[in-house]
Order: sequence, then C-alpha cells, then structure tokens
Amino acid sequence: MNSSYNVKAMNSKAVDLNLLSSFHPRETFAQRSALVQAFKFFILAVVWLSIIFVVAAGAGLTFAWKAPFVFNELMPTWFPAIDKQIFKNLADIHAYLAPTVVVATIIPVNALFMVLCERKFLSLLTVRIGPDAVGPNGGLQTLADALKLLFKEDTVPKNSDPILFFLAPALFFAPSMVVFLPLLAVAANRLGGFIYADLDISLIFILGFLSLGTMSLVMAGWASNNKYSLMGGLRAASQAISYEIPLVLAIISVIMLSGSVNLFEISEAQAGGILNWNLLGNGELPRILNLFASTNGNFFDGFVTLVYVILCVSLFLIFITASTAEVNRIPFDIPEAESELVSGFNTEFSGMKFALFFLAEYTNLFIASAIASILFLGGSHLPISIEAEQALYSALTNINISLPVIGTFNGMFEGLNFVWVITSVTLLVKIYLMFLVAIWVRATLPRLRQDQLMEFGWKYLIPLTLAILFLMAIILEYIKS
Amino acid sequence: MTVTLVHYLTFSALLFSIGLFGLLISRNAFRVLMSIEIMLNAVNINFVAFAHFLDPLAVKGQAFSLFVMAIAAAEVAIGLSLLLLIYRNRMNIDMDSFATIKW
Amino acid sequence: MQFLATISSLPFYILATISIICALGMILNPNLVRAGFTLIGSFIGIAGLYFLLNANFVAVSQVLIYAVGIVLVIVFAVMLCSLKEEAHNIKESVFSSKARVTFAVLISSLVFAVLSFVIRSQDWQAIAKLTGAERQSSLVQLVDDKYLSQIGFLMLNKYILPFELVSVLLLIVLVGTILLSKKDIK
Repeated sequence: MNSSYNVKAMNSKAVDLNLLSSFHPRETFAQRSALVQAFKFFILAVVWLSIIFVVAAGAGLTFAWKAPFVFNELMPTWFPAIDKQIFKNLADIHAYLAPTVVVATIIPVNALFMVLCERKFLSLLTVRIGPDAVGPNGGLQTLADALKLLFKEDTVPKNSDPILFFLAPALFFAPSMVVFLPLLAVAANRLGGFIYADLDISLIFILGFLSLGTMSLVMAGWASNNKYSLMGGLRAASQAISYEIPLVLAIISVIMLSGSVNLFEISEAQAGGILNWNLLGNGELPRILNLFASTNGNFFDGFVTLVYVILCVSLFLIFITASTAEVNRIPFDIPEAESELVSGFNTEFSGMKFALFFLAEYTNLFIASAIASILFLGGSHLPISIEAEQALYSALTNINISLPVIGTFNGMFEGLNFVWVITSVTLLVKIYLMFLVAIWVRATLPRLRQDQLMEFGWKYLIPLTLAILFLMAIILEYIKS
Repeated sequence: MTVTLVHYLTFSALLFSIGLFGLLISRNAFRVLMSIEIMLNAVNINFVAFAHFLDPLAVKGQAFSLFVMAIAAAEVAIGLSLLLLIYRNRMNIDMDSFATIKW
Repeated sequence: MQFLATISSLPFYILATISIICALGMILNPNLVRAGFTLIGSFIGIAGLYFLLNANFVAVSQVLIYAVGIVLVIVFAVMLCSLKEEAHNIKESVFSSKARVTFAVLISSLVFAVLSFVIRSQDWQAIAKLTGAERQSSLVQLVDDKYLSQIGFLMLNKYILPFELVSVLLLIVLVGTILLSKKDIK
C-alpha cells in the first residue's frame, strides 16, 4: 500500500479512483467483501458483549454473592469483640448496595461498546469501513475517545449560570442510572440481592424517572447562555412532553394486556416461545386459524384475534417510534440537529461534562431498548417452550463448581445457581438487537422538522394510540372471556 | 429515634408555613404559583403519612393525594396561561400592579 | 441498637432537610429560573419520603407530575416572559419591602406554631386502627396484595364521582388553556 500522495494529482481536475484509494493508507471497502465485514463486526460484538457481561457479573458476584456468609460467619470470627447484630445489618446494607455497584460498572463499559457498535454497524450499512485504527478491527476506538475526553479542558462559557451549568450533566446522568436498577432484577432473575432492585411498579418507575432527564436538558440549554443551546433545550422539552403521551398510552395497553406493572412479571408472562410474546398477542395467535377452518365456523373469533394481533404489532411500532423520540435519536433528534443548532443543548459542554451527556444518552437508548424487549419480545426468556426452559434451568441449578482460588472460601459458592446467566445473556442479546434496529433507523431516515414532529405526534400518534387503547380494552374483554 | 407520624406531620407543617411565607412575601406571580405548589405538596404528605401510619390497608390517603396532584396540574396550567395573557397585555408580572380596577 | 435506630431514621431526616432547604431556596433565590429548578429538589425529596411511606405509586406520580410536568411548564413560562429583557436579569429581591417581610414571617410562624401545637397535643396512637406488630404485618400484606390495584379499585368504585370530575376538569383546563393562550380570539 502506498500511503504517500501526489499534490499535483490532487490539483488536477480528473482524480482517478486508484489514486484516491492511495490517499487512504488502508484497503477500500470494495476490496473486502461485505460478508467479511459483517463477520468481523459479529466477532467484535461477541467479544465486547462478553466483556460487558463478565465485568458486570464479576462486579455483582464479588460484591454481593454470599456477602451474608462473609458478614455472618467469617467476620464474627475475625472480630469477636463486636456485636453480631451489627454484622448482620452490614450484610443487609451490602446486599442493598449490590445492584448499585453493578449499575455503576455496567453503564460505562456498556456505553463504550454501544458507541463503537453504532459506528461500526452504521459503516456497514453505508458501505464504509468505519473506525479500524485503534485495536483489532477498531475495537478499542471508543476507549481512546473516552480517555481523550477525560483529559480535555473543561470550559465554562462567559456569563453562563455556573451552578446550573455544573449540575445539568450530572442531573441528566443520574436518572438513567437510577432507572437501570429495575432492569437488573429482570436480567438477574431476582437473584439474591437483586430482589431489592425489583420495585413492584418498576415499569411506571422507569417512565417517571426517565422523564426527569428532560428537565436537565432545559437546564443545560438555559445555563449555557447560548441561543442554540436554549433552542435545543426548549425543543427537547416540547418533544419529550408531546411524545410521552403516546408512549404512556402504548404502555397502558401493554399493562392491560399482561395485567401487571412489574417488568419481571411482564417478562414471566411471556415465557414459552415466540408465540407467547406480547408482540404476537401473548399466545392468542393460533386462534387466527378459526378464520380458515370452515368446520369450526367460529369466523368472528378468528377475526377478533387477527385484529388483536395487528393491534399488538402496531403497539410495538408505536412504542419504538415514541421511545426513539423520547431519547432524542434520529429521526427525532431535532434538539441537537447539527444543521440548524450546531449541537443543540450540549454545544457549550466539553470534556467530562460532554462525556456525561453522551453516556447518559446512550444509556437512555439502552434502557428504551430494554423496555421494548421486555414489554414485547419476551424479556429474559429464551424463545423455547416452557418445559425445555425449565429443564435447562434445573440443569443449571444443580451445577457445582469448585474454583481453585475462590474455592478456598469454603461455602462461598454454595447453592449458586446459574439461571441468571441464561436470563441476563438472553436479555442483553435482545436489547442489542433492538439497538441494531435503532441504528438501522438512523441510517435510513432523514431528520424531521420541528413542525412535522409536533404534527406527527399530536395529530397522528396520539389519536392512533387512543383508538388502539379503546379497541384493546374491548378485544381483551372478549378474548379473556 | 424511630420516625413516627408526628415527625412527618411536623415536617409537612414546616413545609406548609414555608409555602405560606413565600406566598405572602413574593411580588412575582410565578413565585406565588410555586409557593402554592409547595403548600399543596405539604398537604399531600399529610395524606400519605396518615394513610401509612393510621390505616395502612385502606389506601385512601394515597388515592386522595393522586386527586390533589391532578388538581394541582390543572391549576398550574390555567394559572400560567392567565399569567402569560397578563404579561402579553401589561408586559409585567408584578402582583402589586394587578390592581386593574383603578385602570 | 440505638445506633441502628438512628441509621434507619437517617433517610427521613436527609430527605426532609433537602426538601426544606430547596423550598427556602426557591423563595429566597432572586433568579426566577433558578428558583424554578430549585423546586425540583424539593419535589424529589418529597417523592423520596413517599417511597419511605410505602407509597411507591404516589412517589412516581410525584416525580412525573410535579418534578417534571409542573416545574417544566413553570420554567417554560418564566423563560417566555423574560424574552424581552436581558436573559439573566429576571431578578427581583424578595426583601424589597420591610413591612411585607415582617408580616409574612409573623403569619407563617404563627401558622407553624398553631399546627405544631395541634400535632403535639393529639394522641395519634389512640386514633390508629392498627398498632404495633399488627401494623407491621399489614404493611407486608399490603405490598403482597398489590396496593396499586386497591387504589384503582377505590378510584373506580368509591371515588368514581371525584375521579370523573377530575377528568372533566382536566378537559376543561385543556380547552381553556388553549383558548386563553391563543394570540387573537375571534
């Protein structure tokens, strides 16, 4: 490969393609096949996902697993003078903190891969190579970016509101961290300390706290003392307010369908194969056959089921649309539209503050994908029948590992079942599939205008969701009877 | 030192008086609205605390606090649109200048 | 054990302090936009207290309606009303008139004194329907029994009239707000 380029050739009008490729020190995309690129991307994804999983699970295990054992059995023997009750309470506090520790480790690692995954998959879709300089196949690119952001100067614009300018990124990041907790209860199958992370109303909890982020966008826009930032913040607020309504209405329909506001229970209700997913009508799909089986004659029943399944699928589509708007993704990213507003609300932020905005945005997208996959795509359940899944679970429950190093803590891993591995990996893969869909949408659709966005939200989406809610209530009453 | 109903009631009384203080002291109509919100919140805490400490199984207090929230939202919406209308006509949101009877 | 009891009552004190400081800050801050944002802290502190009171749904509604909805709308309106002036100069000192301050302090401290006297003089244990261990077990039962469905049941049975009235009120507000804030009513 010849990496030196010819100035004379650049100045001449006809630039031939061979020369152009020699500007770039690496091969062009055409020289590699798309299939190879896709395979490389797949390998990268598998490696990174396993890193994410191992880091999060390791943090959870080292922090929480059998913490009661350490506190109740080992500590009293080490410190016999101290009251045992105090150790017991410390163990409780420890167990409460375990999900928080997992969240604190998984969010940065996960965001590192999400950014990389977006860039690589986007380059696949637009027939480019994407980042490939740092690490094998560009696998460490975002790590380098994050390090660069860490060392950047933190500038504060003149005449800005210093307190709000300081608070806004932190307040944007905090809700997404809090909201992560109930997801862990679903992923870890309510294991050990993670049952504390499981609120009885986790779905509503996530909705409520996720919308807190909007406030800090307005705050950031106001504090920056910049007209583009202010416009971005106001746009973000108006967008969040208008798209929260169809989002909540779609979710209310799902709540009616599954009869619970707890994510874990919603996920449990979809166990046993793709047909049981809420996307395909939660197990009612086979009743469509009544349409065709003339012997039965129950045509109406089949017709109602058909409408019902169509409603479920359209709910899924509406949910994806509204949540894309909620997390300010393309095609709804008008709060940070580069062509109009420089970079919107985060124009003035640099260094770690910008990194926090970035981190929180990707975490919000991750959470939105997670809710979509839990509400509609079976949650943490494999697409296999309940019996097969139970057999798998019981096989994993009886597994017995004695590790050479950790095994010396006798009883440390006693009774550890590995069901959570299956559930969390399943959920992670589903979330990333939803994320790939979001990237696909980004690569396909152009950005909307502000008035188009408002019109679409208020004039089409909200009436549509209201109609679906109404129909859904009637049909569910018919189907359940 | 366990937290009892008295603690919650005292806290809400304190919050209510702070809201009242803000209501009386401020001349800006927006701040008056915010103070009213604080007072409504204090009342809400009372509802929920009574429900929790006196009769936990019947969740009437929680249901009532939800009603209060709905009415507070309605009040803010109407109040703010009135304020915007006043601002548009008079270019000023000082409570003392609303004595329009004198005109 | 004294230590543990102190620890378990800490969340209440922390959250109460946060919400009171934020409420005071809202009143005393000369910058209106900052005052609006300070209100969030107060509301979120109160939401945390609702979580402590086993009222999870009310807590989330508090966040959704107050901390996001109402504060957002207020801050929006403040920003709209200050576009003509210099952006950061919507300042007004609350201590403008001495007589007003004295009057406000007097009245509010009087209200607080009366309220706290009433609270102290009442024997709350006597009114409570359940006490001690019975109450503890009923709290556990409440979480298991899905208090949320109970709230829904109450709203659609016993309180159906206020529920419907609130929905009518919200509709009226929706229409009224649009009418009021329209540029020119024909």
